[in-house]
Amino acid sequence: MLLDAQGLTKDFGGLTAVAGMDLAVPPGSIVGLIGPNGSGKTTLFNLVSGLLRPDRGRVLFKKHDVTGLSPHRIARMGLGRTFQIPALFRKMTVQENLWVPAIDEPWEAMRRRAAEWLEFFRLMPLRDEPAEVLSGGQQKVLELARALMRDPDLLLLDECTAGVQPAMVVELLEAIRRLRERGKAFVIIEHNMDVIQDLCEQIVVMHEGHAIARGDLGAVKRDAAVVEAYLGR
Amino acid sequence: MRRLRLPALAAFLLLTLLAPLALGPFWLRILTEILLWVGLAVSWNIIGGYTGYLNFGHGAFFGVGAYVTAIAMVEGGLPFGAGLLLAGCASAGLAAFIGLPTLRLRGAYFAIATWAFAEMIRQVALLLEVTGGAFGMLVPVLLHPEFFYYTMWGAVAGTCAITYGLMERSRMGYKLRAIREQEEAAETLGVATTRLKLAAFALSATFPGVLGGIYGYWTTYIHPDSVLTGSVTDQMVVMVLLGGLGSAVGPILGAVLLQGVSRFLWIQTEQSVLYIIFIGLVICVVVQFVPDGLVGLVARFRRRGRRGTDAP
Repeated sequence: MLLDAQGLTKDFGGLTAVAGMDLAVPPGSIVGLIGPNGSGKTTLFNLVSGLLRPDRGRVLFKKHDVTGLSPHRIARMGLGRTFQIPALFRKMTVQENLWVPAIDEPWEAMRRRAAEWLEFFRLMPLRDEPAEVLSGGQQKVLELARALMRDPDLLLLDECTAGVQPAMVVELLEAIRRLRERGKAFVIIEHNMDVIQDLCEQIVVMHEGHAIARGDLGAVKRDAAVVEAYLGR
Repeated sequence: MRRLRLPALAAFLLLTLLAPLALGPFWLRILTEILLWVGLAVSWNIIGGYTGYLNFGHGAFFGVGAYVTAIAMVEGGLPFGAGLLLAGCASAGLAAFIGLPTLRLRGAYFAIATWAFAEMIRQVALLLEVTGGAFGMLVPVLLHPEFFYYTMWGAVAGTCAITYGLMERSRMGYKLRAIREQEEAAETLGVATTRLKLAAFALSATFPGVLGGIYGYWTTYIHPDSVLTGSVTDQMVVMVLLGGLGSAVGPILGAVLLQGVSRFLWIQTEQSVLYIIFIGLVICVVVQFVPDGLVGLVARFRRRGRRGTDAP
C-alpha cells in the first residue's frame, strides 16, 4: 500500500469529526471519497497530510509511520494535496505560486518545470498576474499545478472540479488519468458522480466520520446504508 | 520606472555619503538620527513585511543591544566593536528563543505576546544590578564624533536595506512570502515554516541589536525608559505602515518622513508631545485611507493613470 491509514480518530471538543477511519490506497490507483457534507472527508485529508494530529490511529505512507510528522516532512516524502477553497499565495504571481514548492531546486529546472505545467494547464498567458485575479476554476487548476510541482506520488484532491468550466473539467480528468499512467495515485473528494464514475476504481463512502461502504460505484449505489446516509431513513 | 531604480539608488547613496561634508554639526546630528530610524524600520519590515508577523516587541532588541554593548564595555572592558558583535548575537539569540513559542501564534496573538516579552525585558532591566536598574548606565564617552556615528548607523542601516532587497528575489524571500500569504499551504508544499520564521525573526532582530549598541555609545547614558520603552517599537511600526508594509522603499520613506517631522516640530516648538499627537494622527489616516502606505498609494495612482491612457 502507498497509503495506509488505520483507525484514525479526531475529536474537536466533543464533536467527533473522524471516528476509526481506515483508508488504503495502492500505488497508481484513484480512490474516490464521497459522503454527505460534514461526514469528515476534509478532516481525514488534514489528518493524512499532517495539518492535524489524530487522537488515535496511525498513518503509514510508503511503509513509514508519518503520524504526527509536520506537514512539510510528509510533503517532502511525496504526498501532495489541494484544498476545498483554493489556498493560493494570492498576492504572488501565478508562476511564483508554482515556484514555491520547487524553490530549493536549481532556478533553471524550477522555471522550466513551472513553464511546462503552465503550458499544460493553459495558464501561460496569466503567469505574471497575481493569483487573486484568477477565476474560481482557474484557481482550482493552479492549485493542482502547484501541488504537482513537487512531483508527488500521492495527491489528495479536495473537490478539484468544483467551479471549473466543463471543457476544463474534461481536460483535468484527462490530466489525472495521464498522471496515473505515470504511476501517481489519487484520493479525490468529489460531489460530481460523473467524475467519480469516470475516474475511480474504488469508492469509499464516509458518514459520521467513518466508512460505511467501499467498492465500485454500482455497488455503493445499491448499498442500503449509503442510500440512508444521503436520503435519510 | 524600473530602469530608473539603479541610478536613483546610486544618487541617493552618493548624496548620503557627501552630506556630512556640507552640513554643520546640528543638521548632521538630525541626519544621523534619521539613519538610525531607517535601520530600525527596515529591520522591522524583515519579519513584518515578509511573513506578516507583526512584532510589537521589536524595540526590546534595540534596548538589549544597547545594554549588552554597554555592559561589555563597562563591566567586561571590551572594545566597542566587540560589544556590537555581542549585541547582534545576543539579539538574534534572544529572538530565536522567544520566537520558538511565539511564532506559533498568529495575528493579534503574536503581537500581544511580543509586546508582553518587551515589557518583561524592560522590567528585568529595571531590576538587575548589572544594568544599573532604575539608575540606568553610563557608557564611556567618545568625544565629538558626529561623523563616526553617521557612518556607523549609515553602514548598519544600509546593510539592513540591502539584506531586505536581496531577500526579495531569494529562495528565502519566496518562502517567507508564501508563509505570509498562506502558511498552511506552504507547509503542505514542503516549506519548513517554523525554521524559516525563526531565521527571519533572528535576522530582523540582529539589526536593532547592533543599532542599539551604537545608540548607547552615542548618547552615553541609557535607561530602561529611553531604550526599552514601547514608543521605540511604536515609531518603527508607524514608519513602516506609513511607508508601506512589505515594500523595500516604504520603510525608508516612512522613517525619513516621520523622523523629519519629529525633529521639525521639536525645533519649532521645543516640545516632544506634538510629535506624539502627530503619530496618532498618522496612525488614524493610514489605517483609514492608505492601508498599503505611501508606496501603495503611488502604485494605485500609477495604475489609475495607466487605465486612463488605455481608454479609447
